[in-house]
Amino acid sequence: MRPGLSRSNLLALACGLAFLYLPLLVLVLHSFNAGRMVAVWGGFSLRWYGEVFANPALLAAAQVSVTVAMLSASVALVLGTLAATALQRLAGAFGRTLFAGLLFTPLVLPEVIIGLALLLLFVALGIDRGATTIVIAHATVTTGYVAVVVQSRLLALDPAQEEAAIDLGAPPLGAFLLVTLPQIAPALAAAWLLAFTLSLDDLVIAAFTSGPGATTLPMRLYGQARLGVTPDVNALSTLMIAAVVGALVVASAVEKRWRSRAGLRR
Amino acid sequence: MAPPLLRLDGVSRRFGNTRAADRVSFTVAAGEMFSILGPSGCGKSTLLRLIAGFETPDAGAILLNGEDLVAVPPHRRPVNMMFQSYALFPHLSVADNVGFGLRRQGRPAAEVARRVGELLALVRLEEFGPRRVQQLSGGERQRVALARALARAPKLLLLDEPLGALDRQLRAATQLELTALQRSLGLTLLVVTHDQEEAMAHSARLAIMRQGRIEQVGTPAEVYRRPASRFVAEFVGEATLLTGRLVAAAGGQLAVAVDGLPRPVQVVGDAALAVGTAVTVMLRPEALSLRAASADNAVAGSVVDIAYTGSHSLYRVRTAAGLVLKVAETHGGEAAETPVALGAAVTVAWPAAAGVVLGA
Repeated sequence: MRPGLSRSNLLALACGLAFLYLPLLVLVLHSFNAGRMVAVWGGFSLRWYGEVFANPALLAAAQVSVTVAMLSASVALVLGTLAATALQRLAGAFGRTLFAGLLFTPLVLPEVIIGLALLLLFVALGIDRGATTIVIAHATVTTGYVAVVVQSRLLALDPAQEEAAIDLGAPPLGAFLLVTLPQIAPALAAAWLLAFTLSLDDLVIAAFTSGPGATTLPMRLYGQARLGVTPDVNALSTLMIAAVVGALVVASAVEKRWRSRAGLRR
Repeated sequence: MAPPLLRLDGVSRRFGNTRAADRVSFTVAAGEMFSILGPSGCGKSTLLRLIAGFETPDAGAILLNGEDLVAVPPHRRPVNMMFQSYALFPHLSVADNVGFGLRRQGRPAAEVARRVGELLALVRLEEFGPRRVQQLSGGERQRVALARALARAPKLLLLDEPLGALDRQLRAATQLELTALQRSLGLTLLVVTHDQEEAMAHSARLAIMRQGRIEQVGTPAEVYRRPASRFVAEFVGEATLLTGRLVAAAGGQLAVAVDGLPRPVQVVGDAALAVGTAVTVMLRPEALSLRAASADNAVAGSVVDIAYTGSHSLYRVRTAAGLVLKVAETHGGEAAETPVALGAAVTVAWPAAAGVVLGA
């Protein structure tokens, strides 16, 4: 039997959810507002969505964002998976804790500091800032996230499986590709989507590391909002929320479906 | 005698300060079922991993048919291993698990399918090919793992605690199947186990391992009757160990003074031992009797524990000085008619030939 929620529980739950989601709700509602005034409801309309798609500057920024997110997520996926694999194999080895610390610290470092540090590095190396430097910066930050996701999956695998594959004649790389990779594939997909989303909605690091001609969507959004919140900004924000939520739902669904299929225990 | 299939010669491997294998030497003949028996952590699994190639020895040679194995990477060694966890691939079907090794050899699909069918029939899992590993019971998984390890017709099959994950009922049946398979296919098996009953019952020969070292290699009967050390005596079967000092030796008849026993123990043994040497006399419980009228040795005591096992009972008899002797009595015959009760005063008797003198 499920314990029933008391009246005070429900109140607390409502307050908590309102705290988290009321601002977003207001934004989403206003994106469908026919009127121009933010505070006044002028009826339901999709006109601002139309304006978003008629705005070349916004579309260009969206293209930069998606390209950067896909590239940085892919780089982070490779690096993070390699790091997670190394962490798993180094179990008990000297320096493992240090390595894990170095890998996971960017997860908790303030973004401003990471952004600033990367900016200084790019300037010092004389690298022209643009989409490429944003990709490098995002990959740097999201590699740790990928490693966390992939490592948790690797830990659930029997380490004897790869040995069994080697024992049965597969060279070590073949054992990884034939036995480990198919089993961690759902985690890889989830990790890629996570890295993709993190890159897509990052403003701070992108602002530090981008250059002329490489304006991401959050940067464009922020710039526009500073000049006054126009309804098309609401529409654009709603689309981004939808994209991020969609990616996360897909990631968790992939993971869940795989789990139930594999009948995972432990 | 045919040259051995497998020869380990002074194989050592250490992890930090632990010697997992310490100058290990033994041979396994073709077609033999050889067991390595030892408590957990004694290094027996490391030995398998050294032979399979997942570990490299610090010193020593591992020869298969006279050829050095150490230089061969694990995926090219003509040995296969059945893992303790079975390590089946959960993302593949049963048939694909069994066929994994064959496919790595680049065999044509039709041949792989035919051979997989044969192997599944061998382990009586004909219908299970398309199933997923998660749908199998423990016993079925064990058989899939066995079929997979046999697929490449290894010259030597390594089994790491092959029955460890099975319940007791299944264990006996599976052991019999394994033995039958070994005989009919002429397999050479090297089994690692901590279960002495399992190792004793089915191995042609076994090695007892302790802290990385081989204490003794022999047939089950040799190891049981003539253990090379106290450790072996206690690890294999039940034993009473009496520590004492040699007080007299004449014509192979030794007398050993044991603390807590009023008279020296008479035992048949090596006449070359010097009087005064510290020795241990081992007595197997079935060689002792609670009823013998006259014998070379007789000690009075009282029964402090009776363990009933069905075919026999194991009595623990404590002497006045606190020594405990283990005595086994087979049921039926004399024992059934006049059972010995807990607390009864008894005389434990045994002939001199029953004792075995162990070095210290």
